[in-house]
Parts: sequence; C-alpha cells; structure tokens
Amino acid sequence: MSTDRSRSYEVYQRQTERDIPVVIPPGFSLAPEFVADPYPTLARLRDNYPCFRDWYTNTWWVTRYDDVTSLIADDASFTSRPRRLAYGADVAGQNLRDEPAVRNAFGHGMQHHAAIVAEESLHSFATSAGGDLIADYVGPFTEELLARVIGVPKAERSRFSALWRAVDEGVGWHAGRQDRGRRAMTEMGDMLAKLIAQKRLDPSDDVLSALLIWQADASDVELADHAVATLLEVDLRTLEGSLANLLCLLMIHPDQHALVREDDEMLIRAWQETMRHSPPITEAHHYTTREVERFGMLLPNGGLVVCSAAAANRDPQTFSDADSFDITRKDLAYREPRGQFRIDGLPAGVAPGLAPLSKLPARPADRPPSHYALTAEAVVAAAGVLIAAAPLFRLDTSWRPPQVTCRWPGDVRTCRQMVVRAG
Amino acid sequence: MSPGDAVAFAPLPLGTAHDMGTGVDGRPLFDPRIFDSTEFRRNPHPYYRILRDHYPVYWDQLHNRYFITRYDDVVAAYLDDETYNTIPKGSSNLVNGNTILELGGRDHARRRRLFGAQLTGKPLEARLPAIRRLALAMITEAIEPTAVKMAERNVAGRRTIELGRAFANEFPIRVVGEVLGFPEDAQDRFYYWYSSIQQGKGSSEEAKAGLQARQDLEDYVWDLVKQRRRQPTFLYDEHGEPTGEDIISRLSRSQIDGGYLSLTEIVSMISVLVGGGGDTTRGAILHMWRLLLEHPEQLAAVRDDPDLLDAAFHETLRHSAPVGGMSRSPNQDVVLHGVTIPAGSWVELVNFSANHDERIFPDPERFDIFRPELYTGRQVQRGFRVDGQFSHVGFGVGSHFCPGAWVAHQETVIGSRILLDHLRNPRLTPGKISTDSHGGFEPIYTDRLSQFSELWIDCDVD
Repeated sequence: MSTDRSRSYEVYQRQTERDIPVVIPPGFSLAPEFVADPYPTLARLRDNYPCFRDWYTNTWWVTRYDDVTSLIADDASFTSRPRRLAYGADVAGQNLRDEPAVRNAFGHGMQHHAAIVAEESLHSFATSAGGDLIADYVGPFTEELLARVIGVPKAERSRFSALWRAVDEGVGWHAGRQDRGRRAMTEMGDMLAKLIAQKRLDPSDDVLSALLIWQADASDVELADHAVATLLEVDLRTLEGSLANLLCLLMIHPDQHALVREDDEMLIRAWQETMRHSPPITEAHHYTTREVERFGMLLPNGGLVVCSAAAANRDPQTFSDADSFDITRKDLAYREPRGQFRIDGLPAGVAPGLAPLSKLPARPADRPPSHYALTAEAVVAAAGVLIAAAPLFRLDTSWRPPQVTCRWPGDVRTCRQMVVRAG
Repeated sequence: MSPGDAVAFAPLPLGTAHDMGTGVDGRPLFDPRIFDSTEFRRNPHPYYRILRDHYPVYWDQLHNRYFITRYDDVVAAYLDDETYNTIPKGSSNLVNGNTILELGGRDHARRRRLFGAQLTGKPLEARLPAIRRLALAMITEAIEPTAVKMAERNVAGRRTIELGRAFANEFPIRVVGEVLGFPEDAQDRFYYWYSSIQQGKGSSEEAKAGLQARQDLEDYVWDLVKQRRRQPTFLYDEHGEPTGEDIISRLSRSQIDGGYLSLTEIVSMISVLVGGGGDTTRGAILHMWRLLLEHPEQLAAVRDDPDLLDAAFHETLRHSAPVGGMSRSPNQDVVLHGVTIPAGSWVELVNFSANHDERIFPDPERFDIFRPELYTGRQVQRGFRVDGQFSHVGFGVGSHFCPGAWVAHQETVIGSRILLDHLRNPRLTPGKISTDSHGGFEPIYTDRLSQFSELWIDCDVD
C-alpha cells in the first residue's frame, strides 16, 4: 500500500501551529500519580485536548464521551487488536469465542452456575467471622464460576485459577509477567489437554466438551491450545473487577447501599452506574486502519488511539455531577448498548472489555445472552446474595477505607481489599 | 517526575547491564522501563547489546514502538524507502514544524536540493577558508593569555579552558547562521530561537516556550523572505567571488510545484537546519576531544599526523555519535527476525546500537582510530560496505542521510587542527572530568541525542 505522503505533509503542516492550553507532562500515563488516580489528569485532557498526542508512549488519547463512543463504533477506520498479540507468535491456538458451540456452552454455563456459585461462595465466606470481601468472596466466586463453566474438576481448580490469572496478567508490557504468562500458558495447555481426553469419555455441558463437538477429530493438544487462546480473549476481569468495585462503592456510599437493599431491582442499576463511575478496564486501545483526519489532527495508519472510558464516563457534558456515584441518576441509560451507545437519547457507560457492541437490536432467540448481559447477570447474582446477607457484615473501620486503584500502568482498576467484620 | 523513576534501576559500572531475569525460552528478559531510567541514559550500550543479541526486533509495549538494533537491519531499513516511510515525526516537531524529515521520494528530493548543494562539493570547499578564519579567531580569542572570556584559571604555567564555552558551543551555530545567510544583527536572537525550538518537545513547558520562539523566528524571517525575494544575498569564496545564493535566499526564491514555499515551510526548514547543525556538531567536537584526551597515545598519533583527524572523526561518530537514531514507519506489515511489525508502527532505527554492533565492529566499546574495518573516507549517502570496510551510521544512510555531514566533518577537523596547534600538552582537568552523579562519564543519552554539558581541558602556557 502506498501512502500519499505529500498529502500527509500538507495536513501535518496545518497541524504545526497549535497552542498548548495546559501542560501535560510527556508520558503522563506512566506516572505513579496517574496510575493511582487518573481522573484529575483525564479531566484536564478532556477540557483542553480533544485528541492528545503523547509522544512518550506514542499514543493519541481521546477523552470526550461523544468522541470515544463514535470512535469505538467506527469500525471502518479503527480496529482493536486481539490480546494474544501481546504474546507475539507464541499463542498456537485460535480464538473460538464466537464458535456457536463454544459460545452456547459458555453462555449457558454462566447462566446456569452464577447463582449457585454465588450461594456457595457466600456460604464458605459467612462461616468465617468476616474477612476480606475481595480475597475471600469476589476472587473465589470468579474463579469457581470460570472453572465450572470451562469444566475443570474440583481438584484442579485452584491451580487452574492461578494459571488463568498468570496468563491474563501476562498481556502487556511487563517482561516478567509476560514470561510467567508464557510458562502458565504451557502448563495450562497440558492441564487442559488431559481434561479434554477425559471429556472425550465423559462429555458434559461445559466449554471443554463443546470443543469436542466443534471439532471431534482434532487432537487433545490442539484443542487445548484453542482453549487457552480462547480464554485469553474472554474477558473476566470486568466480571471480577466490576463486582469488587460495585461492593466497594456501595460500602463507602451507605445511602446508595440502603437503596439497593430496599429494592432488588436497583442492583442492576447499581452495576451499570459502577461501570460508568469506575469501569475496571479504563481504556480501549483502537488502531487506525488507515490514515484518518480527525480532531483537526492526522492520525497515521496504524496509530494507537487510547479511548479512555474512564474519562468519557465522567464527561460533564454528558453526565451531570459526573464524579458522584448515584444509582438513581436520570441521565444514564440502564440498558445494554446495542448498535450505539445512546439509547433513547440517553448515554450508556462505556465498558471496554465486554466485547464489541452487538449490532443486533435484540438478542436472537437461539443465542445465549451477550457477554455484557452474562457479566451483568453474574455480578448481580453474586452481589445480590451478599447484600441479602449484608446485615451480617459491616466495614471494619479500623482498616483503611477500600480503594479502587491500579497497581501498574494498564492494570485493571479495581478494589483489592475490603475488610469486613461479622456483626 | 520522570515516568521511569517509578522503578529504580541502580546505576551500574559502565558496560554492565541489570539482570532482568531469564525467560522460559532462555533469553534474558528485557524490562522496557529501563528506557525511562537514569541508568539507561548514562549507560545504554549493554542494554542495546541485549537487544541486538536476543531481540533484534524488540517490541516495547510500554512505549508502543519497535527497536531495530543490528547494523545490517538498520542499514537495510534506512535504504528501503519503499517499505519504510518517514511520517512519524519526532516529538520536537510540534514546535519545529513540518520538515523534509517527514517527506519521501520526489517531494523530499526537490526540497533537499535547495540547500544540499551549499553544504557539499565545490560551494562548501569555497567556504572552507572562511570557516577556518572563524575557527581561528574564536580559538585565538579563547586561548590568548589576555582572553578574559575563557581564562577560567591560569596558574603556574597552566591554563584551564572549557572547550564548549571556548569554542564548540558557538562555532557550529555561527557557521550555520552564515551559510543560511542570517544578517549579523540576528545572531544574538539566533541562539534564543535555536535553543528554545530545540528544547520544545511534546506538550511540555519547554514546548510552550518553543512555540513562542518559533513565532518570533517566523515574524523575523517573514521580513527577511520578502527582502530576499526582491534582492537575494550571496555566499562568497575567499576571493570574494559569489558561490551561490545563501540558503535563505534560495528557499525564499525557489518555486516548487509551481509556487513559492510557504513561510511556515521555510521557517521549519530553517529550524531543522539550525537544529541539525548546532548541537550535533558541538557534540561531535566535544566527543572527539574527550575520547582523544582519554586515549593519549591516539592523541599523540593525531598530533604527529593531523591527517589522522579524519579517521578520528569517523571513529568518534561510530563510538559516540551525537544522534542516537531515527524513526520510521512501515507502509505494510513487515516480518523481520520472526517478529511482525504492523503497518504504521513506530520503528526506531537505533544508530547508537548499530555503531556498536560487534558483528561489524569487534570490541565496539573500544575507541580506536586505527580500526581496519571502519571506512574513513568521505561519507556517502548510500552507506559504504566493501572490502571488509563499513561506514558508521552516525549520519544515517540513504535518502535522508545527513545533508550537513560533510560540513560537520570539516568543521570538526578544521577546528581540531587549530586546537592542536594552540593547546600545548592538553589533558583532562583533574577533578573537572565531567561525570554524572554516579561516577560514570558523560555523555548523558536522551531519547535521540547524547549530550555533553562541558569538557574541561588543562594545557600549558609559557
């Protein structure tokens, strides 16, 4: 493909003379302050730069709600890249998430197990005298649900969860984590190959068995590779992260907590408001598929545009009093966005990670719910049983208040510790 | 606070790298945060060596760019302007503006031709006596016993000078100013424009100051351009014969694609020429003198045979090039060493690393002006590799080869010849050897430049 360089040159020429309304330090997104709390910097970007070129990280930052949502929906000019690319050529399998057999097994598994696993997790949590809601409830719930949906037997579950986390955390720039992810990928492949061999004899309705329906003549090792590649793309960080953030926000906003306890129906709204207020995945990375002239700038082919969901979701042009957590807010669409982010004129929160927006206005009868809906259902189930039992718990005030944070640039932004006492 | 300070990479002895672990495939792991660290800025070569040996194409996911570090790959990429375009502009371009650095093919060649001719061949040769006179005047002024400017210390038959302030800071900029055709009265502001625009990177405080300086330069140049369009000014050889229009006249009067260059374009071109010819040549002079003073036997050889200065200049550019590399962007997906570089990625061609590639230059950290494998003839655009000799890539290779390479070479060699004549028994000033805070030697490497704050030299006086 040839590039019309003189045209690019002309556009760059116009771009040269620009004012610098506020100073944003180069590489701002790697600074510890930004990792701890990105919102002040994002607000400055949103107020001053429709599209901010950060030379240091070679990215263009888009932060306004209308820009972010239009950009995510514009798949003619922008595309996301699969997470597996972070591992280079080392991922042997292919992503089967959209294969009907796998999609159905995953969807039905999530629907079937979510409520049961939630009850069980609460049971094992409530038998102790309180503890860390995140480490002892949210984490185990997610891991157990995943293991059951995939079809990992009880004995292997904790090992499987550890591997899954390592593979997941290996996506990104960190050499050490990536290496641990590589090792975990190999180990997980071996584990799953053995399980698939067992499923051949004793099929069930889990994802591993679905792989055998999809391609019965493939070898165990091949199928295991596909399973690993698929797991890499299926996002469960949003499930775990938004459950943690939801509980955290409810704990530190007792008035909102009270609303949820009075009315079950409010829980799904609380989740949606959580996804707006504190999305666990704060940015979507989209690459230009060709040279695009937007925002008065020229984005070259292959340019990395960071669509900041965190910034878009707190855009004061779109949401009134955007920084406050309010599950009764009237300016948020409490429905799954389909086709576009505005629903009946109301903006939905931007939630990266939950698969591309469905283009269909409604779910076809023969399909399981979307990833968005499955995540919402699972979180609501898990939060619901906990809140029903909530009088049993209260925040341990001797502990520091729970916080929603990242550990490193690009990390999931979530609450990692929330100590409660039985009471 | 610099982003890299979030992780501490303790300073190590030069030439040794931090152990960042070993991967499952047996390769050493490479933490991209090293690029942000102070350690890397003072001691980059062992890290580039890891990249050359184990990650010839390194994808830095933290900074979203690819590094190409081996000599062969770097040269091949420079020469392949079908695959690699020059669009990704450096971070200073916001201020600097659009320059020929971002153009390719005919558009690039047409513009480059406007000033390239003055910087090489006969027109340059005709300028050499003037350059020599300027150097002589500056050095004599600095070294004469009566010189107040530089007489930092003058005790017991010893004089101490700082080579930057004495000579290297201003000399290249004055040469550039002259070749460009700036009037005398602009010389003072010239340094302000130059330094502000050069420092204005990204959307930093410096960029703000840089934009102001650029506006100021533009206001000034606009009048100049109008003048020169009516009445061009010329450069003259030693006999007072005009050798051609100076560069500003040339830029003002030339038409490309049927029209004059825009003011914006002229200013950008001027600022890139000034930037390209100032700090870089300063760096080359200081680097060369530092390296020669650190290797007295080679300094002695050069003193005995000043013609060796050409080789010393080339070896300096190989060993400590002032410019670290250039960026490119592939037009289509490129697969190199098993790594796919997607179209449009930011690819960093690392000159620092290619010049220290042990596949080409054995024992690359050693400074040796007698290297048999280093080509020390006249630099050529296409690079040089024949009969077991290789050119350094300090000036780049290919169509974007530094147009001022030959000027820089002449400036450094002419200046150094005069310095050799005037400095008796030169040596590094003890206690003033410029070091970083961890005892390592300068230079400090930034993303693209290796910088030198000062170079103190003792010499004998009568």
